[in-house]
Amino acid sequence: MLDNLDPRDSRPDEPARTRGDAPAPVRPVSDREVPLAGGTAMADIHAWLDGEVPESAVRRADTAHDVEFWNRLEKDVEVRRQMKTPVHVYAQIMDSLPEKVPQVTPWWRTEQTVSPMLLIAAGVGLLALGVAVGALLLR
Amino acid sequence: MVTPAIDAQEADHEVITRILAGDRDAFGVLIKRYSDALYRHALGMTGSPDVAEDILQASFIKAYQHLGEVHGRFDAWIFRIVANGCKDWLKNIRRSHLSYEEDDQPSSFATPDEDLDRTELRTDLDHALASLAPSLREAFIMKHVEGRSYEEMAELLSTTVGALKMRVHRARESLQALLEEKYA
Repeated sequence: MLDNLDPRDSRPDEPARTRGDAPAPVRPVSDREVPLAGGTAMADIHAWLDGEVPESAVRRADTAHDVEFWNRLEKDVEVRRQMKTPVHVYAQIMDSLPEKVPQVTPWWRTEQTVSPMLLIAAGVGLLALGVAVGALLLR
Repeated sequence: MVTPAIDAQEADHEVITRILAGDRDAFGVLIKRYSDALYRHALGMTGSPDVAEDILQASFIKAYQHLGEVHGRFDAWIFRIVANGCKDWLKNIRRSHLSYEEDDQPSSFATPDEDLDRTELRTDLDHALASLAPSLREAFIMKHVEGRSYEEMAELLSTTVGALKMRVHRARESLQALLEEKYA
């Protein structure tokens, strides 16, 4: 059996695309969970920035520009890394604490969050259970 | 706060027990222990020292009020409160310009020229960070400014290491695209 490669097959109302047509954008880049096409040079830079390889392993002719850029940025990031909470904030927080001593809350009275996916899965599970019980009763 | 050891975790638990027994001042131990890392997170996310202070203050007060509900790691719990505070603030406000106040910066630089260069880079990096999607900004700040491992980030944000690597990589590529013409 031969593969049918006609793009009109799934959408009969649309005209067939010619080879030169650019593919339509599907989703914003930030939503995609696949690596972007950046080549091995960028992959090496990421590996270095992630601490997986030393700088000497990625400093080449094609990456020297990127290494310089990130070394320069690192100097500013280092400053941010050493920032401390302004001294007056500690006193502000302590002064704002309520007088009432917090009470221990048992876990069953704490706020529980349920994700939509969990809710859907629970619904599907209950439905399946209902179908199974119904099928048993109707036997 | 980067990699809390078991001892630190137990110590937090002991401090919380004291607070719940009525020792209000013991809460200061938790503030001193975690405020710097949380302040850096809030500052990185909002770009404003004033807002970062407000979020930090509101988060610690909320944590105090609900301290009896902590059943796991305090540091992870308070981080989520601060992170959610930052996300709520970002949802509610749109800012076209972000910059740090000079008073809040360390001033240990060598020469006036270097100072000028660094101030310019800092402002440009602030603008570039502000242009990123909040999830990418959060991942970049946690990885590069807070120095967390991907595993710790995944635990704090309840997501996978792979997804976080992707966010950090995209954040880096976006920042480089925005800044390299001027700084490379």
